[in-house]
Amino acid sequence: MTRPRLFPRSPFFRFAAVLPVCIAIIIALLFVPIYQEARDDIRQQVASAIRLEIVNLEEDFHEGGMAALVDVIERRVAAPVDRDAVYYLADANGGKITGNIDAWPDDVRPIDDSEFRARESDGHTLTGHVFVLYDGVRLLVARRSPLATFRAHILRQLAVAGALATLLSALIAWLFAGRVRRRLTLLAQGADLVQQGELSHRLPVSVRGDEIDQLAARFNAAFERIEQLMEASREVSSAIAHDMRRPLTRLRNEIESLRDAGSGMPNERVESLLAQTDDVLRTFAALLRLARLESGSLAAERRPVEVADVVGDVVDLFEPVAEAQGRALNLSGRAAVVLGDRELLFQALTNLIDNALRYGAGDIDVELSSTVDANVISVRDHGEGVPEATLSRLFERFYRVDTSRADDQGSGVGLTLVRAIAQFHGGSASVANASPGLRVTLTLPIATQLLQSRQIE
Amino acid sequence: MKILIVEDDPHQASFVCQGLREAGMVVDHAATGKEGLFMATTEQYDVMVLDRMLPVVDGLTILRTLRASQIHTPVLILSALGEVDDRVEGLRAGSDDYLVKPFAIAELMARIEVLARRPRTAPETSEQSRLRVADVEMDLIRRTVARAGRRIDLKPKEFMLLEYLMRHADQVVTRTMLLEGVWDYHFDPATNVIDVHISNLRAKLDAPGAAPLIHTLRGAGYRFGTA
Repeated sequence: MTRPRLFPRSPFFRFAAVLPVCIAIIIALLFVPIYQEARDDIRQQVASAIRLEIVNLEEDFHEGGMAALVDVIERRVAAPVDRDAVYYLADANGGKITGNIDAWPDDVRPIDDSEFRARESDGHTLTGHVFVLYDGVRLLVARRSPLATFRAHILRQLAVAGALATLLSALIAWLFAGRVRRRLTLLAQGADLVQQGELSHRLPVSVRGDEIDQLAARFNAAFERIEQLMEASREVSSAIAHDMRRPLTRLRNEIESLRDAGSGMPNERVESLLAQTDDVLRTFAALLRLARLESGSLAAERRPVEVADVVGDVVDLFEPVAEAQGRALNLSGRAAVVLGDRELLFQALTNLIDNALRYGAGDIDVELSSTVDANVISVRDHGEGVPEATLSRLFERFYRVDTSRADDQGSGVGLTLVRAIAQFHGGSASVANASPGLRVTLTLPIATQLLQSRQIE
Repeated sequence: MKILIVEDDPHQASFVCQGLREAGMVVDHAATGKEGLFMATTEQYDVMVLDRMLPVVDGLTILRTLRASQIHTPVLILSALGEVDDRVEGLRAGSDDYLVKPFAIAELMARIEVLARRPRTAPETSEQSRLRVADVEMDLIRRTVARAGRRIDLKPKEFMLLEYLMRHADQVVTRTMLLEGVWDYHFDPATNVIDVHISNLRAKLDAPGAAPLIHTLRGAGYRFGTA
């Protein structure tokens, strides 16, 4: 599901990509009518300039005949006030009489009083009028249109301005989207923390009070509720455990005196009753311990503990049990000192190895290692592991992978207790299938101040 | 053996008193801390069993008062709490042992026995170098064990286990006591871990034909000795 995509799915990325494209299109749409308007205007100006020219030449021609016409054209050509004006007076064969171009343009047909538009060899557009006077003498009056130059200019400017606007809009979109995205990422990280069990964590709400803040506030309200419910269920379980202990203890005592008084009941049955009652009491004791650990009311002193010693003790204790099952308990690696409580760590390790012996199969590897700031203890068996889907639930109270094991003597809070103990030490616990087997890993921060003072010694 | 029980829960108190009396002990019961303190200071007892949570004057206060007035009778604290911090607090107040409720009466009796037999004054001065029970001989300095002259090789933990059993020969030793005494961890061994250690030790100790020395007591624990 999370495989990398060529185009990120993020709406922010799409927004940042689409916005500049839209801006570019809008600029183009705005440009087209402006350009057309300008073009028509230029054409009109050219046409009226030509008309004025023709009126003038016509006057001269009527008053002074051909000589006057030639004279006027030569004067105009000699003193070019207007560089765009084009004149050409030719005989019937197109031979030049006078004018400021070299030859009769190829694609202009010599028809009297006809308009033409032609392209010069240097790329300019000529717009003009042709007259055939007497004896086949032709007159061409034209103007070089500034349209081509204008078009080139305006296109270049449009390109520059368009590119700038597009870039600017891309930048704005990117910044804006990035901002929103950063805020949403913060929210997502916060929600992750809550999901991972830090129920008291809340999402950041800024003073702006915008939609994102409202969303965050709503999530916070939901988290608040979840925390309350969790707290309530925790309290209920510890209250039950607490209140049930006294009557259960009485029950246990009664059963014990039954046995000692010789009630006539078969001894095995009384022993079995006692064992069952003890199991329930043990579960309650574990629940209460869990409640104290989780609520932080356990005021155990934190002292330097050699993790390797505690782990070694647990392995020592359980080795004969493993051997009796034909399994090996292998301890390897080294660990540093943590600040904490050795009894609690012993309990955690006991639970892990007991679980591996009880629910796992094959040899059990206990590995110690340490990183720069943490000790890592992992306990792994070589059995079937657990279904992937159940991994995330293993630390839950009373969660069982195999619900059909009704005769299971485990308290159901063993791993929950392990995690609570790890957290008590400022660390964490995690599970993973090691294929084969299940691996439970405890990460406990190293007592660094202690380490430093030792190195100084 | 004379025992004082200070316990406010009448049911728990009658259960404990009855159990101890059946075992042949002389038992006095005080239902409040005040009464308990009075009895503890006026009578001689071999062992006192103090409930930690008592109305008005709690168990730890009684204990501190006793110790402050130079009464060094062994005290066992009973507690419904069982956490590390509680235990440490109890031992600091001057208790000699600490038992978490609920407990088996056998566990309590075994611990009372051990406390009553514990040498009262300066136990560390006459540190023995050898232990001898029946035909088992243990050299604490060379860390060797022999039974009827035959040398027995034990792993370090097995040696410590045997040492504990021999030091408490002919007494009931519970699994919890073994875990505390040999491994130095205070928790309830729910599984049969200790039994496996004991049966390994037993297999090494009892040569074919030799009389068994480690006896299993149903519902209680073990006893080391000839009969």
